[in-house]
Amino acid sequence: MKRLCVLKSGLAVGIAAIVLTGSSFAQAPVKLPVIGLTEFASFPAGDEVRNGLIKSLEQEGFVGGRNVRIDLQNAHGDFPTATNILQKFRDQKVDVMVVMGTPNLGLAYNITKDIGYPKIVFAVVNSAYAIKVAQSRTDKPAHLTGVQNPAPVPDTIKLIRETMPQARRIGVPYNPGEANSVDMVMRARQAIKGTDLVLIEASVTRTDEVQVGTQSLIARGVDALLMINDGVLHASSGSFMKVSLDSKKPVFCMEPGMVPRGAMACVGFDWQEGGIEAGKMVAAILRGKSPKDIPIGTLGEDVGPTSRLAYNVAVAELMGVKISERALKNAAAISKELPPK
Amino acid sequence: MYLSFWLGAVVMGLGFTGLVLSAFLTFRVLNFPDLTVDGSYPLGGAVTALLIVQGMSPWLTLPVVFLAGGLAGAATGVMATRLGINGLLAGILVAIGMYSVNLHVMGGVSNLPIFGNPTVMTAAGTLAANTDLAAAMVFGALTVVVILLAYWFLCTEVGLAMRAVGDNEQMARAQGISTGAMKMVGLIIANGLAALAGALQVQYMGFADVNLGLGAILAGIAALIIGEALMPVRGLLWAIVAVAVGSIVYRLVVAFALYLGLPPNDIKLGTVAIVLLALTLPRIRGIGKTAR
Amino acid sequence: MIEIEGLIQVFNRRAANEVVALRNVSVTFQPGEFVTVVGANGAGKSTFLNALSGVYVSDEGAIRIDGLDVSKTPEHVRARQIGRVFQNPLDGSAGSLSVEENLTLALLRSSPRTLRFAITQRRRAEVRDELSRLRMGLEDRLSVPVRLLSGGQRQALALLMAGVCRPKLLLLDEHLAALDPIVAQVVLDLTCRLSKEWGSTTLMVTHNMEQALRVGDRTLLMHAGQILLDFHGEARARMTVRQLVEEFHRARGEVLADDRLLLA
Repeated sequence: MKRLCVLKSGLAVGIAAIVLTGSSFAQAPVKLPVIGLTEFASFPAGDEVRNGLIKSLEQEGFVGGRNVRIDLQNAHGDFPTATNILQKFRDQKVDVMVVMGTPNLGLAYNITKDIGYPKIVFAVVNSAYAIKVAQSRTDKPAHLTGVQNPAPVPDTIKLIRETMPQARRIGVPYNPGEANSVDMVMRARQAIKGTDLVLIEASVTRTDEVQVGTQSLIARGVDALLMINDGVLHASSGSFMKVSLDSKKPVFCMEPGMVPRGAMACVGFDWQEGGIEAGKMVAAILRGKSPKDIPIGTLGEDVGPTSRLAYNVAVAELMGVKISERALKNAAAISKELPPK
Repeated sequence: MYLSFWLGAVVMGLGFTGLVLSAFLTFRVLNFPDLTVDGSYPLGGAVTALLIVQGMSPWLTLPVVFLAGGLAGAATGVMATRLGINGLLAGILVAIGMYSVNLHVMGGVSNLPIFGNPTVMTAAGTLAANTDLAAAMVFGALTVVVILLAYWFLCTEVGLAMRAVGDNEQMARAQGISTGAMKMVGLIIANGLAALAGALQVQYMGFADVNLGLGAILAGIAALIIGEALMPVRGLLWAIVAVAVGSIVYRLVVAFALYLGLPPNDIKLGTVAIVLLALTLPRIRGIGKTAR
Repeated sequence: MIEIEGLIQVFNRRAANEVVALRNVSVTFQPGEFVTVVGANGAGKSTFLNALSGVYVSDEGAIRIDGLDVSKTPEHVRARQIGRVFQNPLDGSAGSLSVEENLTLALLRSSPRTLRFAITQRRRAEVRDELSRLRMGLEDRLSVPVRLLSGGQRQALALLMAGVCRPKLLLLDEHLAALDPIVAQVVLDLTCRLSKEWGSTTLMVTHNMEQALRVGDRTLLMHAGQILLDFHGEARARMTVRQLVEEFHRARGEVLADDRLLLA
């Protein structure tokens, strides 16, 4: 038995030795600047940000494989793996760490806060302030910067009141299993304090529950529906919009892409722009700029167009809601057609 | 040479031992498949973060964390032994419900940072300049203590009774053992341990996250099986040590997959392949293993 | 003294497959009495034992051990005064635990379990002492996992575990049936010897009518959930298997036609 254990340890050491000497992944063949990019988990918005970032880097002259090496990693939702990935980047002393996902930001900050390197650019983070990594755009660790994307919940509530002043009951379906969704609903509850609005919530944990969940809201008598940036809702937006159109209860959303699909009005941001801005930050850092001099960007405020108001006038007409000329003039995009059946 | 990377894997493996030990107690000793840990593991993290932010000593939070995890285990135990709910289902129900509980514990936010607050590692930070080394020492010491306590417990009259329940429930009852009570005790201790593991992970990461528990039990079982396959079968103490070994090796295997530079979407597959290789290599070379 | 009064056990009450397994069983056993119980399949023998030990909670009736009614106490509490040996040798002990661990479990049966070490020097000596009564050499194999023992050794151990804390009642449910004849005889001899040493009232269910009449002090023949015949003393000593069958016929007006019973 003891011999078996010795044999196994020997085998492990042997494999390790072969890999260490022969691995072409562990060491870069040529001394190119290295960007360590790590996503916490895979989801559609993250893909858009990543694509925007890589596109933006190329536009700035940094092409992966040619004059820069991009080490792509994904923790698939596992915290210890995410930690290990960042530790690898730190040991490798990568030139820039791009961390996507709030947990990644927390982890990256934790393992670099005492040493100040590698430099960090974050994206796909609701709020760097909420996680206490930074206090303001400029009051932050010197080696860290990035783009945050708080969902514009208060602005959306304001939009509802401006567009439908007589609306009182707002239906909110969401997946309580998604931390971001829970956050957003919490912020919605905060935002309606002091108004006469009432939030009617429905839990939808799976895509096949969306239709029934939304119909239950209609049955409970809502004047309008609030669509938060929720994975389950996003995945079954078709059935969600159908319920809205059939019952003539308008949808207010936070993602411009939903307006052509049937939402009546939206104040939101474009994920890809977050990626593009982050890419610009990375390029600047690679060219020698210090993250200390790059303030944190906030999508919807200082990154991307400040107003991403969008309306679907065809839907509004169907619902019997009049959207003022002034509002339409401020809009960044106007859809004129109902979504295809 | 990538010290913090490998050491980080070892540290997290040590910290995770509590959860693997939990799986050992429930799945192996008690023969009760318990899925509660998906909820009690993040609960431990949430409780320790909450208390640390309030100013409590990080060491003092650990017994509180253990109690909190124990409560979750008790909930499952009550459902399974008193309400006649299938044990597997009871664990799942509690784990699902714990998501809301954990959110409440964290004050309604999904992420609770403890940066800048003292942790169990800051005390040892004076002994080692490198924080990962400090963490390794503290977690290592804690793991040894937990292993010894677990071994002691299983050698007591109560522990022996629990082992009997897991082996042969009918005989246990015929020997005057309340199988319901033993299951409760086992579930409470196991989930207390899982919560401890969560607390250590959170103190290491610097923040608590409500999604910490996703897939925890699967990782725990994988680590348990790896440990059993690697360690010789030589009695109770070795079986418990195997738990720690499996936990560390599991994290090292994942680290190895990362080190090899596998494409990110293939990391999980790569991990599985490495584990399979490690488990079947002895067989390929014609060396048998004694049957359990 | 064990008193059983009006014991009734019904399964699947009010359903299509309702079965009355015990019909108003009443009997009294003297302390130290060795009673054999025979009957055809479905006569209610195992149900009777399970009702006594608490596996089934009786629908009606009283079970008194030395005057105390235990019919409502849970199985594991009753176990403090009742020892059981099952038909399957694997059921009587924990396979993954060692010989001394199993016997220690049995030694701890009558008192609440504490956080003290289960196996101490003193307890080990006690275990060795008890095991030596079996005369199987198990006292030299204390740390052997019980699953490595033979069926006969395991059943002997189960017997020892059942009686080691001197229970008032010893229930043996066809505990020899799964053993080969030579081993069965050894275990039977042990059973008779030990139950006398322990002074327990013993109920031994058996399919072997010859054995039922020759072993012990008293024989009960059960049929259709009732105790049909009850022999002891002189009448029993003179009874043969053929006579037993005739008695059955007289009592029931039926032929006792159970091959297994008759050919055992």
